[in-house]
Amino acid sequence: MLLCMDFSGEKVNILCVENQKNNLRPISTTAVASFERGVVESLELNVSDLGAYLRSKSGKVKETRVSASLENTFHKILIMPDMKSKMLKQALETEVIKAFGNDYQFKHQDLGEVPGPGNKVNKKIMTIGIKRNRLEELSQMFAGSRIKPNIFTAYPVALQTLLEKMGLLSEEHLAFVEIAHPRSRIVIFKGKEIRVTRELSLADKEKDTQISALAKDIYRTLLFYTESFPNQQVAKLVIAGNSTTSEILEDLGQKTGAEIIPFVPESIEGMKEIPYIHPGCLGLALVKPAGFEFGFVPFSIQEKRKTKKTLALSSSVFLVVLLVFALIISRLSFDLKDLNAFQAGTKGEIKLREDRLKELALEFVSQSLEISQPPWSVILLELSAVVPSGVTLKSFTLKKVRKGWQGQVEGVAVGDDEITSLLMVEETEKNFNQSPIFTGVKLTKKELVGIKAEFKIIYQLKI
Amino acid sequence: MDKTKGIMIGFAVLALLLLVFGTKKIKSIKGQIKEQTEKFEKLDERLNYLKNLEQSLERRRMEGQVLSRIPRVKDPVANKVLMEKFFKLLLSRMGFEAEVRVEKERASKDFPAVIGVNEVSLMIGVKRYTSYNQIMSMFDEFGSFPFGIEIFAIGGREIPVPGHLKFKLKYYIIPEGS
Repeated sequence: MLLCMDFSGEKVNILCVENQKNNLRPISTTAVASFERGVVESLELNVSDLGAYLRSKSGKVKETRVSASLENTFHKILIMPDMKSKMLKQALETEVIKAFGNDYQFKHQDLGEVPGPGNKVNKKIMTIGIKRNRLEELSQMFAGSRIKPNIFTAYPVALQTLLEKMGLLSEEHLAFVEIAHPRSRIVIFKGKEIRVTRELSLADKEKDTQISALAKDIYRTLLFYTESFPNQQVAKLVIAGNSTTSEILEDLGQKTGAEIIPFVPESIEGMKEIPYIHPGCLGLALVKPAGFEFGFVPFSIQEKRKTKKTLALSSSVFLVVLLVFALIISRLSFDLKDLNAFQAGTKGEIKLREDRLKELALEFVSQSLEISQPPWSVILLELSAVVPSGVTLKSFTLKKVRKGWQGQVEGVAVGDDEITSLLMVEETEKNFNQSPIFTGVKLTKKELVGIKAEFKIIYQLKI
Repeated sequence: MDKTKGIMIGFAVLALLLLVFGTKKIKSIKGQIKEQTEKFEKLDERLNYLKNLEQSLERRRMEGQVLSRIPRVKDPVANKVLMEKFFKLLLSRMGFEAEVRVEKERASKDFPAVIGVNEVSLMIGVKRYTSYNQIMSMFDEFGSFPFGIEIFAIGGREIPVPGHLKFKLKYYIIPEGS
């Protein structure tokens, strides 16, 4: 259900319509309807009753549109030089603040190009603003209910949409007059331009039986328009409102000389047999949200939306980061698990092999000994080869150490004199060094005892 | 402070915490993976070694390259005496006059504990020998038993037994049934 509410008068005008696909269809209307009446209605409420009404509609309303009163809005057409959108926005802001102060939230619409001085082309910009405080007040009226307005706009904007749908909006000057008690409203349009808006008092019937005062006020407004826009005259007057009488229509026709068009909603496609419907509400109902340029959002709601957006964005980013970490960690954990499983499998296989090795212990020992034992016959033969004649070995040792085999020989060289003996020792050392099976040969002792030379050589086995 | 800013700062702090702890956790798991991979590589290396060893030992068994063993009894003291007598007999049969000293049996560290090989250290001092061939035939005879020569010495004081030709040997006791 679509709920349209107009706050332009003292009372709140309400229109509930069913949104059936694209076909908008008000079902029934009454001046004052009871809350129990049901699904769709058109009514007028005191502001104090609004809370209860909204609560009664809670859950049924899908979309809500609201229009504000004339006294809290402005409408101005500005002629601006052609510039980039950002700069234009700033320039418009300056102009609006200059004209109306800083209390308004405003929107603009490009109405096309107009010739400027010289060859320059200017732009005609329609600006519409609503007082920030009023927007907040309107928004606050819905605070206690679940219904949150989707569109806030100005009363003339809703009327403009209505007239457009009725086929009345053209380049001709047209005034829409809503005659209501205690205040009436007049809005003058020229095409898409909202040129003049004014509120007029409607005197009590008892005091002004001919209702001539209101007709005079309307006439004066039209004269003011002609003065403000020279050579431009309102040709049509659309009259609406539940206080409209045939006397007023006749009087206005006579005074203004304009064509009087009574507001007949039946002329809109899909609306038949409707005795009365508030034009502002109907205009709101006819607004197409897509591409609608004069929808306002109160600052507090903007803040809430911003907060929600930030919350959604931040939590999404956080969740994405969390997800990425979770994926990486779970992937790595799986890898670790797999590795542990492989390791356990390998350990099991090793255990099996070791058990098998127990059965082959004899072969194992046999093979190990075969590998670790040096070729003793080769060593003894080599030993006899490296010892020159005249040299006697007193001892020979070969010992198994961690990195192989290590040994030492002690001997004595007996030459004709000391020098010969020493030379024989050197020859022995040289022979050890040149041997293919000895390595790391070191002469650690060389001592003359008379003409004999005692020596000690340490060595390692090269196998 | 602006609510939006508060939310952003809150989530930024949360994201930062997540980043710190997440990175820490990832590093820790990566460290574990590295450690486990290294362990796994070592295990795999060992497994390959065991496979090759098993193949080679199987081949050896098929070829019948087996060692003789000294008879044993259940009593360790009797075993010691038995071994000493066996050795003396073996050496005297080869024509050596030798001194034999047998030490206590213990678990061998030269082979993996899982195989359960024990060892007995022996010191032999040959007092008299006649030829090089006689010594060589002794080495050959040692080769047909599970003997490992630790020290071989001619003269010197490395092995504390009387004699000119001295050996320090290890006799490996292989579990029955293998």
